[in-house]
Amino acid sequence: MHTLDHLLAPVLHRAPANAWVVAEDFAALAGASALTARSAIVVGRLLRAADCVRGEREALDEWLLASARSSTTALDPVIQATYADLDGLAESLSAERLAASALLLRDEVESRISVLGHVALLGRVDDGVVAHERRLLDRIASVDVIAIERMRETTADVASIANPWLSRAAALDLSSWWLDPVAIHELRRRAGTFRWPRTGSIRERPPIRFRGRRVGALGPVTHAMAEVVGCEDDFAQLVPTHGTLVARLFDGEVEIFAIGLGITEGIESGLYVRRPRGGDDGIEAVQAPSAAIPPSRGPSGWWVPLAGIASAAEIIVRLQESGEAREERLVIVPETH
Amino acid sequence: MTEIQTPVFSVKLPSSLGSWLLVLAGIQVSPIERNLAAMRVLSHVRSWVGPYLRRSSPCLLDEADLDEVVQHLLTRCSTGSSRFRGTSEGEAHKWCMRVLLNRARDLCRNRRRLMLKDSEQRIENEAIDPDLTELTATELGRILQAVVEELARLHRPQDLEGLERSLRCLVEARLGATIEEQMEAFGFSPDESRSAEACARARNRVYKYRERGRSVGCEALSALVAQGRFDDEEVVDLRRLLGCGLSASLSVAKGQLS
Repeated sequence: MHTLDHLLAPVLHRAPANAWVVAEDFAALAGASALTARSAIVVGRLLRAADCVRGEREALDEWLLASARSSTTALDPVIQATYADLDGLAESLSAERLAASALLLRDEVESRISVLGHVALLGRVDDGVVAHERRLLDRIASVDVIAIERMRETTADVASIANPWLSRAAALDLSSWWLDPVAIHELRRRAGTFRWPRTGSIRERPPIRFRGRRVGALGPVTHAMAEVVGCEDDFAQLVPTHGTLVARLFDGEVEIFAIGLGITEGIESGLYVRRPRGGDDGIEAVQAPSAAIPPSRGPSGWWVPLAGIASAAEIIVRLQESGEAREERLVIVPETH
Repeated sequence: MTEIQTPVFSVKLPSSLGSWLLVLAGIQVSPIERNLAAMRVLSHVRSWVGPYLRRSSPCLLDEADLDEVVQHLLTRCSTGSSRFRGTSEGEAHKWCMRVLLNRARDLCRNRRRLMLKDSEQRIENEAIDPDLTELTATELGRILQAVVEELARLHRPQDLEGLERSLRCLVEARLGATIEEQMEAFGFSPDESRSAEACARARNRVYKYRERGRSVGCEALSALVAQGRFDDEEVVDLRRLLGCGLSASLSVAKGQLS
């Protein structure tokens, strides 16, 4: 069986992707024939960043499996170190200001837990590994809840930390609480001259804009809706998958979702008009006088197709509620560039 | 997850990307079920990742790159603590696209650095280049202005002033304003005393503004992207500045606990 440094040599020396690998990492891997607390962090980082290419991945998986199966306690150093770090992390969260070391510690826990999860997923390993992964994830979740609540009140002190790995991990992951301060710290430096834009007093409802040329090029594609028999023409099904809220009318009593307007969609483009909790109760009519294809009423909302609209057009929505009829208008503008 | 295990028994799984991602996120799920779900995610994502990244990635990616990008997604959705925890199919797609695009950007960045190194140019830290700093600030301002304008279609006219204020409160906090500065700027009512009680009220008000700023800002930004006004790549910095990914984190962690 190869040692880790030998196995990972091509990955670790492939600059600049792994500019974060420091002497301490190389030392941890040197001659290692089993995972240690430190080498698991390096392996975890490689896995999290998907730095191993085909061939290297398979070799690493094979090594991890062989290592995990060599003894029922093979992964104990990794597991025990993770429990201990979580205790240390929970303690450091009570400090007045979140220290940079706490962010690093949380990231190291993440790397180790990723290795354990990866090994568990490779299969045919001791059930204890799977159970520890679950238990650790539970404990991580409770630490994270406290940390995220604390982040509301305190900023993390990241000025003192210049860690290339954390910077890279922050670029890959926008949602982790311990990486957010790192990313924001860098963004602050990059946007040092930012001033709040002069927004004036724009209080007019702006038009919905869409790429007219793209809409014209797309025909109706209904495969995304055809999964439910009897609901083939119900665009409501596309709202959770492809819809984005782009307008509210009647003080929020009617919502309009854009479907297929962006440049990355591949489905029929249109607007879906419905009530906030679904359905079209009280929406008496939706009209688009200058549209090539008139809006149609579906089982639970109105569909306004945008194909064929070549210039600015108006959508009129009529709402009947408590015996009172109201009408609101919205402008849609195709952009040809 | 390069080697997906063939399950020894048939596991019935739901048939949507979101459900598979949730199976992968479930810590009580057996490795076999997770493996099967990973296989489904792999085949689903493989069917659209090429065209998606051809449109959205900042550089051209070949098949090997796509392979790396998808592997990264599989790791993110099946190991560690930041797996998908959304509630809808739409969120599942958006989550995958974001993870894939971030990895694609990472690959492109590395490639750019490698080219600079090959041509023996010094790798400059772009953070200290005054031109780029100015450019980032201008770009952020341009998109933020569009976000503020977008609010007028999403909210009632009478709420707009307050919402813009909340958004500004959040952005300034993220750019380094302290809670004390923000209590003075946003928290106290005119002529309000600075008693302990008033300070606590002002502090809570600022926290509330920040939270509301995040939710309305991220919603308006999504609306802009949905209309094709900006693409994903252009709004990465603003998304980060607003902390759009973060709002999900707390519910993720709480969901994990429950």
